[in-house]
Amino acid sequence: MTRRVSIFGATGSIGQNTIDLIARAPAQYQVVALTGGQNVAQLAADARRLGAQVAVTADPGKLDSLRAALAGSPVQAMAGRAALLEAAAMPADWVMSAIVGAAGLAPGLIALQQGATLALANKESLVTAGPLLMATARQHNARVLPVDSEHSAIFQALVGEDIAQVERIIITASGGAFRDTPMQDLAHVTLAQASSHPNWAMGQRITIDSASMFNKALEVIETKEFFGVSPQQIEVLVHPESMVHALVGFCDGALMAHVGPPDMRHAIGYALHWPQRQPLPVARLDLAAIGQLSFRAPDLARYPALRLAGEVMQAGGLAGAVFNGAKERALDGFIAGHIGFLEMAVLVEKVLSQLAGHPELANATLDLDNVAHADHLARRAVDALIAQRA
Amino acid sequence: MSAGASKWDDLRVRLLSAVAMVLIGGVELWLGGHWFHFFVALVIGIMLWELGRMLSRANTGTAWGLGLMGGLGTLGLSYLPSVFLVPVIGAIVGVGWLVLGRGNGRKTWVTYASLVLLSGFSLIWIRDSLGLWVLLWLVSVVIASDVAGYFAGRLIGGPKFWPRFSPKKTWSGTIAGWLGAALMGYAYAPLFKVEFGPALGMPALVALSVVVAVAAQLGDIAESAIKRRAGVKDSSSLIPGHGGFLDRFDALISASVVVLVLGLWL
Repeated sequence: MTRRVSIFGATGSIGQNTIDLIARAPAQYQVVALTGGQNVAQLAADARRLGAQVAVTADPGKLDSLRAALAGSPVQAMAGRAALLEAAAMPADWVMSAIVGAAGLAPGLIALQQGATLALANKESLVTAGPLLMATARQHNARVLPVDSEHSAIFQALVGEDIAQVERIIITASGGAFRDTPMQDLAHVTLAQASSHPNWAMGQRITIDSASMFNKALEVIETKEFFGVSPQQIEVLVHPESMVHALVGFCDGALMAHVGPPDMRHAIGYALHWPQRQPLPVARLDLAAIGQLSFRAPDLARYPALRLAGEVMQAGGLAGAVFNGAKERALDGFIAGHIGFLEMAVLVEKVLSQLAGHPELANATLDLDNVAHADHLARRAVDALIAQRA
Repeated sequence: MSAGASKWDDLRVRLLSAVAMVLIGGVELWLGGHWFHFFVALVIGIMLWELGRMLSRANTGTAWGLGLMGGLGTLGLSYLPSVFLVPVIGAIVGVGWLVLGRGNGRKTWVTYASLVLLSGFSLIWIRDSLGLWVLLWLVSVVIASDVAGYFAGRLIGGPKFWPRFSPKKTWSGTIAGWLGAALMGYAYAPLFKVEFGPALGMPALVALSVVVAVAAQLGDIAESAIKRRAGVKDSSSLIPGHGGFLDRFDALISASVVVLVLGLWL
């Protein structure tokens, strides 16, 4: 039996790894939609190779080049945000949500409304609208599967377990590019230094987010939303080797760790084949050769983002959308060279407190419109703060 | 009452046909993709057949050939990048120019067939890159301006708008058309705000709707002028109560091209 699959964000690193797995067993899958951004050539090549029904670029101005790249193939070319949402509404059994940023939320919600299984790699969906996403899934009898290695690890450690007996969830962090940089030097690190990750090969933005631990902060919030545990139950542990992805502690003191090489195809493959397991082309660990694994507590002074995650979870509502929007904009500012590495967290914290009592956000319902509005206000607030400094 | 009845007697057939068109067109619009491409190609083919028939008078073979080329050309263009636009339209229009011969309104053919083919390309482009809602807004604005114009023209009447080309159009109907379009822009504003963010707010959309309505009315008048030159009342009688496809979609032809240009420019 073939499964109908769609991949949102097919040209990114998660999307390409998903395609790699699907292309190894093409007879088992019927590809419905592939979507991408600016890299139209890659999108078209994958759509042809996998025999997708439609290929969608998020940029409406790229329809022309997508048509050109698909000329002579039966793949339908479409462009723009409306086309993206339309592709999400096409019937599929399994949908990979790997669009980067807040734009990934709406297609995921639509896929869930069709009853599809949503493999969730888009962090913003849970951070900005976790309760909405999970409620939509329940309402339509659809399932969300985590694709981040940390959340996949927790998910796997919980197979056959009762979440009520979970005492704590520990997610590990590599510590990023600056885990051993002296504090006084952090303020002056360069963009190039922040863009290289010791263990994972990822895009520039998420690599910087790893160095600042904003990425881990998002993952903590995701853990709370996805598994429904309280913020106090979630711990972060620095683990430079990135082999233990997460640990789940139970009420009897048992600690279940998920150990594997840092290869995102494991988590993707697990979500693709769930509830079964299938052989995956990932390296096998030789623990004897590795010898030892090390762990240490994160220094909250070094990583203020983790503290901010706690505040966001406490506040709830649209605080997640504000946090994410402010973080994205501050990251833009760092990449553009307007602000220093440590100033990102300072700006995000300021914006969180500025907008905490905002009349348009306090008590507003958690829906797509309000999430977009909170995101917009947070970005504008960051811009204003950066302009003030200049 | 008999005078009143004659004033409205074509309304029933007109309404029934309108319902059928809204249903068929609506389903195609909603389906999108290959379905919509094929549907637009079919309609464009019929339109060029009508245009060819009006211009070549009795020669049905010519009209059939032009219609077939128009349909296939539109279908092909819906899968090709825009560099093919000018060559394909040029080829079809050029063949028409040759077969129509002198004295058969060849200038009219070149301008209007180009416009019709361009509108087919535009409709498909809008559906595939700007999406279902933009296309629905375009169709709604054209229908609203037409319906408002129809009723205001009949109920209020008054001075003629441009009697040389279109003897029935009045100023009251034209202005009511703008108001109808503006109202439609107002109605679609909340939806567009979700799709395009605060950049395309209510005042801008209302203004764009009126621009589209003006384009629609000019398209309407252009088609009337062609029919007068050809000496026919309707472009064909394929749609009961409405005449031909060119009669019914004349306004959409020009409006869709304007929306494509606006869409690429904005």
